[in-house]
Amino acid sequence: MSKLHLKKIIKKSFTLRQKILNIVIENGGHLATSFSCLDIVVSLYYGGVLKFRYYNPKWSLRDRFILSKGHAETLLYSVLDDLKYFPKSWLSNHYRSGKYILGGHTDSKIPGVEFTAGALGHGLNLACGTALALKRRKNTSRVFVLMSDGECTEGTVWEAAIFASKHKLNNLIAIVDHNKMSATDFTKNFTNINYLEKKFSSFGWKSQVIDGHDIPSLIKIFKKAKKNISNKPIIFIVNTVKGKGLKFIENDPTRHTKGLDEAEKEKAKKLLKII
Amino acid sequence: MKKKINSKIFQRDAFIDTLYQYAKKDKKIILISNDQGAIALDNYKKKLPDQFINAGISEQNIVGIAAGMQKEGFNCFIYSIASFIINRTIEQIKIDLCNSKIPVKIFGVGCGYSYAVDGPTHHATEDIGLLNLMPGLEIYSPSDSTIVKNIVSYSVKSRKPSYVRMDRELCEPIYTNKKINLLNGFTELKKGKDCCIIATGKIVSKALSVTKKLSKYKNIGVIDLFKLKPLNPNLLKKLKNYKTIFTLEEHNEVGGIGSILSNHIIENNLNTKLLKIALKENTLLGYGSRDLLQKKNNIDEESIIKIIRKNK
Repeated sequence: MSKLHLKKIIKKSFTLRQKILNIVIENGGHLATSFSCLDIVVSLYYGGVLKFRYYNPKWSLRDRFILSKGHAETLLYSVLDDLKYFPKSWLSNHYRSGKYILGGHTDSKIPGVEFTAGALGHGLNLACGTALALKRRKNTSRVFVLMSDGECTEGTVWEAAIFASKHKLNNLIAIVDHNKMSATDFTKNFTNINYLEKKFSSFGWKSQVIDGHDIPSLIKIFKKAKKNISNKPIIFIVNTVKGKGLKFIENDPTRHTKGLDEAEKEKAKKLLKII
Repeated sequence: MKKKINSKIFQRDAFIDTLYQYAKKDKKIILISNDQGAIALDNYKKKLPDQFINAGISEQNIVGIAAGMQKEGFNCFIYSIASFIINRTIEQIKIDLCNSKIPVKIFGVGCGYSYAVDGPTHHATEDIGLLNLMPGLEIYSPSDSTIVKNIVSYSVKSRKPSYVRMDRELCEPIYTNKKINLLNGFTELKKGKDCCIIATGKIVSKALSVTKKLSKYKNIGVIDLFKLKPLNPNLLKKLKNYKTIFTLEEHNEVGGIGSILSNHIIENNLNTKLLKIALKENTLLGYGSRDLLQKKNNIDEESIIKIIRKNK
């Protein structure tokens, strides 16, 4: 990948941050969590990792991207909008504006969304079923699933973890957005999801801890994962910063749902160079 | 389907044997279970190992796996003890199946008090009520094994998610020499005058026997209601013919067919009187033989007769 291309992708990450901020200011939405995994999603969609056709969202040879953390809806919808999955008017008719085409969590009725999400602990199980079906159909597409770290306290995640290794789902690539926070607090204050990489590797997965904001490296790692020659499913525990890009909300556990007040809106716009 | 299913077989075996007949010709049919057994399953597993998945005791996972595979072109049938696969997976059924309109079929065994002495963990006495709340889900409650076979044949082609509540015990054959109109959703097994029992599941045979015993005293009709959701609106026309309806079911009186039909009666301003013969809240969560549990709830033959005589 040329340096110029990489530069464009990094710029895309910045313009999407601006776009998300604008949407959240206008309509509300989950800002901090969207910023946390934005570089991951940008790497997948713009870095040539995922095979997809915006004009044919159900193309059978597409790689399946399952957003399990459905509360990053503003992020996914912004990306799908940018990639022309649906008409431009949809995004401006976002959920709180009263037209309810796009809602507060991702829904499978939207082109480009594989499964409805919002209740956590569903995506990895659905991804396992999808991966198993693709393998049996000898379809070489890959299944990516993006989860939150707080989500890993759901028992279903571990039911799926057992299933995936037993069924040798080496076409499955799970990504945990490890921002060390859940909805109300730092995860370390109420649960033990430390060393997720060790937990998953003991369940028979190939696991690796990586940086979630280094786009060139994310692209390289994800592309390599698609060529998985082992018989194990892969999981990346991706270290991220919740709220990344807006210093004053970064790593603040109260910011999962809390919106920006008027002064903060102006401050945020300035930081993201929105004139 | 050429193979004749013996009506004196368990509903679960009728389900798996019939599914096997389709599955051997269609590689896309997959049977997924949570480590659940059945006589017919041994044959299915042996002959079609690639079309069977024992996903272990992980019901929520199973619904997710089935939804994922179904979306990618497979036709998934889940087989489990009813109580486990329903009570544990309401969210998966609502979101992964109903919201996304993914037509996975769930066959649960052990409805009502089928697992009597195994106790409340195994009793499925609230499944109809819970699932009646799920948009777009079809619910079947077969009274014998022949009807199970028909439901399987329909389910193989159906594009709707569904739940079939099967009994664990042998059911008296009802449809051996009788035509089944599955789409109709109910069969008027016996025409009556003024009074009718609408029953669902294995207990339909008890309704028939009760009406026989009361025949000198009263001409009571019997309707087998086997498709509970969506309900055929034509059933209303039948209700109109009767002054008194007794609903009979091995299910909590809240949310069961008594509840469903009484709603319809109110919504449609019918003059029909409805009396629920069903399980009462204060008797649930207990242990005992099925006979004992039925007696406790006044759904044994003697009690049913008493109730009907009292409320003619």
